[in-house]
Formats: sequence, structure tokens, C-alpha cells
Amino acid sequence: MNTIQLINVTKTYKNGVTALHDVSLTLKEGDFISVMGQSGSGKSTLLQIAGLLDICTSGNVIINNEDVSMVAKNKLADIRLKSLGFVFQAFNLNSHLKVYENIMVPMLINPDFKDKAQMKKKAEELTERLGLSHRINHYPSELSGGEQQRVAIARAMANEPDFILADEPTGNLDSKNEIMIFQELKKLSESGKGVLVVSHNDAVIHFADKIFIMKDGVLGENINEK
Amino acid sequence: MKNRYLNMLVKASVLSNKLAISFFSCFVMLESILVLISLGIIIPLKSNIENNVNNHIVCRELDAKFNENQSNDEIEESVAKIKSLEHVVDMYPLPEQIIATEESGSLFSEYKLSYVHNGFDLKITSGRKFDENETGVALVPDKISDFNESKHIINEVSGSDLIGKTLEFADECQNLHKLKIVGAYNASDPIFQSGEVLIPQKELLEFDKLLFKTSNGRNISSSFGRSYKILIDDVSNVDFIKNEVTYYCNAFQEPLNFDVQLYNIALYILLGALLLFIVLAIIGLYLFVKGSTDNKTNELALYRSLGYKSTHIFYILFSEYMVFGFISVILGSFITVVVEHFFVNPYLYSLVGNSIMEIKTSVNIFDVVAILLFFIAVLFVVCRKAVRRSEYIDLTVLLRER
Repeated sequence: MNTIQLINVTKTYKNGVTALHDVSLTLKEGDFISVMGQSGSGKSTLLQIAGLLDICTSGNVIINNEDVSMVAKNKLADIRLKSLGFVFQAFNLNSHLKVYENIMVPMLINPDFKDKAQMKKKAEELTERLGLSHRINHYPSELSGGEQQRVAIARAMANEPDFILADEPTGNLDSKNEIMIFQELKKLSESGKGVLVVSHNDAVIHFADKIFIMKDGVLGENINEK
Repeated sequence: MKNRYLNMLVKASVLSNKLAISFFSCFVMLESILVLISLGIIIPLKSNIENNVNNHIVCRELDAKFNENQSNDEIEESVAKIKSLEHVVDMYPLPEQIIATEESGSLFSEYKLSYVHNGFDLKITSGRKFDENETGVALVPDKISDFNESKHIINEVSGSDLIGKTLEFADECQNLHKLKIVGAYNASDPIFQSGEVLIPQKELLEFDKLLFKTSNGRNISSSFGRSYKILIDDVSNVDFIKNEVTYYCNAFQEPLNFDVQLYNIALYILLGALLLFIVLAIIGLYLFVKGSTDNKTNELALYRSLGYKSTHIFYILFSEYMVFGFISVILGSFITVVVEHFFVNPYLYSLVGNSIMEIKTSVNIFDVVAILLFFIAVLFVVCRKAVRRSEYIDLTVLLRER
């Protein structure tokens, strides 16, 4: 089984601030983990380290049995490409690309896709799965916040990664869209993907299998015993 | 994975960066124009200095004088030996110029009856050049400033107006020579002093003999009949030949009546300007690409977070600037053609037209290719540096602000 393991991870910034103290966490395929906490608690730092956007000061990050600290830069890029999918609070869509083109961005460098027609077909499947078929040729500026975030989720799923990492995915959305996004993420975990969500939105409690509270860089116990 | 699939992202990047790309294109176009114009002047100027001045025929000639105690046979034998030397192109009897006045009333100043140096490319502006075996024919300068002493006026006479007329020139001993004007020549070359009427060498030698006879040798140089002109293939061989012929005769070089200093200074200034344009081009390209990548922090961070490698990022950056830079260089070349035709060449003609330094600039396909290759090379290096810098982008910029 594929996993992301954080083992005794500590992150201290140059200014001396320690954002993570000896954090250990395992995300498996099919898990839906939510890390909650107040601003400045270190939850985003945890996501950054798990998603290889940043490196830890000490400890180990093991993705699919590979210790990433021992891995070369290009191999790290391959891990991001094939194993991880990101959903950001700010969507980070390209305003000059249509919906299907935004979804295709990760596919453009994936050698598993033979040609652009295949990529477009995949993009169409994803938009249909997420209820965006009618928006496929629209630009992000023509979409609502919820629709934009769903495009971002489709993009994150483009290369069928093992894990989806979402940083405050509902931060810019209204309550109706919040629920919709969490529902989509839940579907992903039920389909076998490992989902790690960082959020301070209480609505996630109804969807996550495991809920951890982060405080002052320390990860608490799972409070959601099902 | 073929990088051409990334063209979609290149297009999106260009659309998001329209203003910067426009400035970039204008910059590259302007730089191309400046470099092409500079090259267009430097290359012919340098060529003119090297070929028309430094390697001028006067710089490749030696005047050889044989001693009085050498017999004609000895002189002939020496001439034959000198002619057989390597690098000697020709050796011929040196005619003496004759000062003469025109008696038919067409011209009033004093003129010199002179000759065309062997190997000199005389430019005929109207009429025709004479054959060296002809007699009774002459060429006049295309522009003559004829001073009428009695009326104290200078008449500007066009040489072409005298073609077909027979002028009568009288030397100092009043020997009259009737010469039919068959053509006019460009007298701007420094080999000519003002007011030279050119006649075939053999005929001038005959006039010299007549003057020598009628003046009892007074109105002609003492070395008459013993002077020769040696023509050498290249200016670099002149000293060698000078040394080689000292056994046979006295040889010396006439200086070229031309101040090349000014043109050398102009050349150095232009070279300095060209260097400056090239340095500015490199700095400009660097700043544009750096500025662009600094503005694309989020975009590049997103690509990296999605698994894009440095090669992919390089392709996107390089393609964006390469396409517009290429088009700008080509457009700049076309604009240069127009600018050179309407402004640069007319201006240069007003400065050095109709002289040995006459320059006509033109856009050379090799210069354009060189500029394109230079642009690609600099862009390649600059983009590589930018991509290296992007490897250190803080990817956490993609996340919400703390």
C-alpha cells in the first residue's frame, strides 16, 4: 500500500521559529485526514513538508517507501507528478487557459499520455465527474469560486495521483460550495486516494476519517474515533 | 514527453505578459537596427582603409632611379632581373609630368599632362578610356576648376562637356600638342593632384623626349630616361622588394597624399559603439528575462509543485522570448534596409561620396544570421540562469499567506 509517512519531523525557520515539533503522521491510500488548528499552529507547514513544497529541518519524509531526503531533484519532480495532487486555497488556475487546458497542465509532461487528444479526453472525463462539462471551454474568470475549486481538484486528479493534499480548499468559498468541495474530496478518498486536508473549517469534521488538532507545532491525537 | 505540448503554456505566458513582451520586442528590434547599421558602416570602412588606403597602389609602388654611369644595356638587364623577382607585378619607364597651358581658349589654367599608373583602376565617369597604344587622345577630370587670370574668375567646367573637343596644350618650350578629349575621369583619388590631363604613357614619354631635346635638358628632371616605376603585389612586400633592388638602383616610395587618421578614429569610435550596443543587448536580455521570471514566481512555483522539471521550465521561458526575439530581429533587419536607403547612405554620400572612402551600407544576410545566433546564444545562457534561480523558488508562495 502506498503511504506518506512523516516521522519525527521538525521544521525550524531561519528566524528561529519552530513551526513543527517532532511531528509524526501517516497518510494511507483511502484515508481522509484533516489537520485543524488556529492560524500559526503549523498545519500548513505540515502540508508543505508532506507535499514536498518545503524540506524539514530534521526527521524523515517517506513517500511510497522512498525517503525523499535521499532522492535527487528530478526524482522528486517525478514523485510530485505521479504521486501527489495539490489543491490550493487560491485555486492557482491560469487565467489564460480554458478549463480543460488548466486540467491538462499536469498531463503535458506525463509520458503516460501519448498525445493531446488523449489528454483532452481525460480532462473531459474529469470535468464530467465533477459536474463541469458545461464549463469545459470557459476561462476561470467566467466561473464561480466553487467551480474554480472543482477545476483545481480535477487538475490535481489529472495524473491519477495516490494522494491529494488540500490547503484550506474552502477558504475562499461560501458554505454551500464548502460542502460540495468536501464531498468531492470524500469521494476521492472513497475511490482509494489518500486525502490530507488542512483546514480550520469545522465542516470538514463530517467528512474526515481522522482529525488531528495542531497546536504550537505539535500534532495532537486523532480526535475522531469512529 | 514532447516539449511542444508545452506550447499551450508558452501562449498563455505570452498573453499574461503582453506589455513586457512588447517592450522586449521593441528592444530587440532597436538593438538589431543599431548593430546592423554599425556593422554596415564598420565593415566597408575597414575594407576601404585596408584596401583603398593601406593597400593603395601608391603604397605598392617604388620609384626606381638608375645611376648615370649605368648604360642602357645595363639598365635593361637590371629591369629584366627586377621584373623576375617574386612579388614584382610590373616595372615600366616612369614618364615625367609636363606642365602645359591650353592654347585653344577652352581652358585658362595651367595643367599637368600626366599618365595612368599601371594597375590603377581609373574610374571613367563619361566617354571612354583610351588604349595605351593610342595617340593624340586625353582624359580630363570630371570636374575642373579653371581659373581665368585675366578675368579673375574661376569657371567650374564639367569634363564631359569637353568630350569630343581637341585641345591644344603647349609645354614650357611651346611645343604644341593637340589632344582629343575622349573621356572624363573621377579625380577624387589621392593619386591625382588637381588639374591632371591624362594621356597614354608612351605618348607622354615622347612628349618628355621632345621637351628634353628642345630645352636641352633644362625643363626636365636629370634622371629622365633612367626612372622606372616598380609595382608590387602587396604593401607588405614593399620593404622586401626595396631591399632586393638596392643592388640595381635607388628605390624610394612616394607618400600617399591622404590623411587616414580621421577615418581610423571614426572606425574606433564605431567599434566602441558596436561593443556598447552588444553589451547593452546582453544586459537588456538578462534584465528582461530576470524581470519576467520574478513576476512569474507563482506560475513557476505551480509548475514545480505539479512536477515540472527545469527542462520544462526552460522550454517555456526560452520559447516565449525566442519567438518574439526572432521576429523582432527579422523586422529590425527590414527596417534597417529602409533606414539605410533613405537616411544612412545619403548621409554617408554627403560625407565621403565620390572619394576612395565612399561607403554604401547594406544589410548582409550573414550579419542577420550572426545577430540571430548571438541572440539565441545569449538568450539560452540567460534563460538557463533564470531557470537555475527558479529552482530555489519558495513553493510555499502557492499556499495561503500566513
